[in-house]
Amino acid sequence: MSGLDERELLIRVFLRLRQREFDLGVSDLRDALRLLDGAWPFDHLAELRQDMRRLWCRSWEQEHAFNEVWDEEERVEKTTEPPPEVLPAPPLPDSNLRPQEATPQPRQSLGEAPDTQPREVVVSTLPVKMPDRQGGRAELSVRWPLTPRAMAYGWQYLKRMRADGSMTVVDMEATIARIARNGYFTAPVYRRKLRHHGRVVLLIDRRGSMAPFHQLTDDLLMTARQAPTIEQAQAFYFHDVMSGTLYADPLLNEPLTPEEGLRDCGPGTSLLVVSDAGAARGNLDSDRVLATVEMIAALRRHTPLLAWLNPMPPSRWIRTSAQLIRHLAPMFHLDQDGLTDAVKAVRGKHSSGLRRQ
Amino acid sequence: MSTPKKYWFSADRGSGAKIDRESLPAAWREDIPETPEPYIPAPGLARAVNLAIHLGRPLLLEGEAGCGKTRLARAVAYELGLPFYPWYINSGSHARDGLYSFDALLRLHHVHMYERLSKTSDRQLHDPSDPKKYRRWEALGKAFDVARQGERAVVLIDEIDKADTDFPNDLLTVLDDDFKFTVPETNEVISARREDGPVVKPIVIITSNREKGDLPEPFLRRCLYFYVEFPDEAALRRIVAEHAGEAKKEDDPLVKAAADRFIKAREDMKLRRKPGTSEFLDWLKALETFGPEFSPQPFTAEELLTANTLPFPEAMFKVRDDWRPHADATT
Repeated sequence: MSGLDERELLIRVFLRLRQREFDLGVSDLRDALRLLDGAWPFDHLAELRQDMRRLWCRSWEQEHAFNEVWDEEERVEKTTEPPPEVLPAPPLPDSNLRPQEATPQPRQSLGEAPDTQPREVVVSTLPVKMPDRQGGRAELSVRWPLTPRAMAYGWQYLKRMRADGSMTVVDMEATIARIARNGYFTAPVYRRKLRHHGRVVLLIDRRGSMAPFHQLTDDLLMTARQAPTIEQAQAFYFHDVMSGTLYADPLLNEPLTPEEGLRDCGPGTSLLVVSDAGAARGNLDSDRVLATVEMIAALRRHTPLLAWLNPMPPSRWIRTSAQLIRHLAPMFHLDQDGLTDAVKAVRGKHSSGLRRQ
Repeated sequence: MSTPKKYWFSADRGSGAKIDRESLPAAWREDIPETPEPYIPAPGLARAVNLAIHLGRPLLLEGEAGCGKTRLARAVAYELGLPFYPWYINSGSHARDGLYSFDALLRLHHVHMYERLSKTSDRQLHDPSDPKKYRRWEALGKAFDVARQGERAVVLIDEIDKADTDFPNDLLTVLDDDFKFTVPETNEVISARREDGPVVKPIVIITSNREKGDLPEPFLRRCLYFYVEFPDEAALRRIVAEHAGEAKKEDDPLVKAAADRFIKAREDMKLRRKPGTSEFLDWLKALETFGPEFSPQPFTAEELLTANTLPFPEAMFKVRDDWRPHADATT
């Protein structure tokens, strides 16, 4: 090897990745250091780098961050070695792309400078080449406050089970009790399978201040429809104010009266309103609040299981319509904890430890 | 812990057949794949497999359908001469299903029968006093059983994303450091170690299609991750040669032309479902069997390259929107 201390390098990269919120534990570092004990073959540093990427990265974005950190640390590690090497100027893919200030001059003088001078780390302004993922979809993940997986977890709490499935579950205790009573075994006792009967109606605010959250609310509906705990998930849409008209489609083309839309919505149905309630733009409009009051009263005649999900954080509710509306219906921030609490609130059982915001 | 040469999976093939089956314990001799698995690992994949073996961590494979995720596990088992236990996940799978199953009803039946039997041999057969008789190992359980005899096994957990959201986390409790689980029915504690020796970690290969989004973070932490890319044209030709078992087929003009057209067809961004390697092999077979208009003379390379429409689109496209433009053009 080039005389470079791989151990030191690994630990430094590890610490820096942790600063970048990589979810790495001690076992990850121990496994990495184990690769250096001689039993694992690697011929050059590039191979070790590849192995570390396998071990420490779980997504394409992480691999990108890893490459950056590794290259920087490797450069630093190399510069602290006794025989000073001249830093080769990084190859320029296209000289036009480089701003004129980055002439190779200063770098060369750095290379000739005596070793006593601490070398500054040059942060490259080179254009980054897009990774070549031919054929595969680029995996661009979005940092919502809530991932689809987290939503799926939230919906899991909407448990409304009834034993009305097929008669396929062997009731061991009842079978044994029957044997004890009769003195001999005739047939096993079967019970009906438990089945999920969660019913959810989402009333989703569209357009205007909710436009940035369209993907989020679409995900919410999609995960509700896929959730095994939910038998039926419906969605109706409105714009700005929940007044007389609901829409059956997200583009607000098919108007419905609330009576038509909520025909199937009975006392066991969980109703969730998804809207920022003026919090996104800081609006406080008394007419809108009054219209919402009426609408909430109307909804409560269908079902008492009603909650409000607000994509804006609670700190933004102050002095907006949201601050008033939250007294009419329990309002939760649409994040992991908020969704779980909202689902618990509309499940129909009293739950302690509920985080009211 | 060092990895002996024995557990080194290499991209160049051929070591698997050399194992001496007769010297192995009969319990799992049958589980070692006997026929070779034609497999060309993507660049870097063989190294990732070895890293997973060396560190004893599960290897998680993601990638498009049909780029050879599932087949890797069997190829590894064949190559290393180790028993192979696949576990195909469905929407109702639970972590326990991969460890063991217990036939409580049969035992109950035997309890009932036992008192009415007089012949000693029958009574022995139906003696319900030993619960272990009704416990059967499933894929991971079998691998643990092999580990107790000091050998590693290859376990494939296929399409883990199909199961319930909690499934991967449940699995973690088993695949975590001490590799141990209990069977409450028989009061057994199964650990993947030989007496008091070190843990013999099975080689676990997991595939996922991201059907239900990302896997949970604690689970990902324990895995090594590899994204399998679709093979390029040269790799496709090598795969064909590997499947045919003749090296010279790699440079066959028809194979060259077919790989070329196939890759071009795949590059069509409008495709809703991109055909995979298995579609390519089927399609090539059709080209080698029939000519234009289903004539018995096979396609030649020139005919294929000059054909205006893709022949046999039914072998390649499995979604109506993808298939229609090609089918309309041919009829």
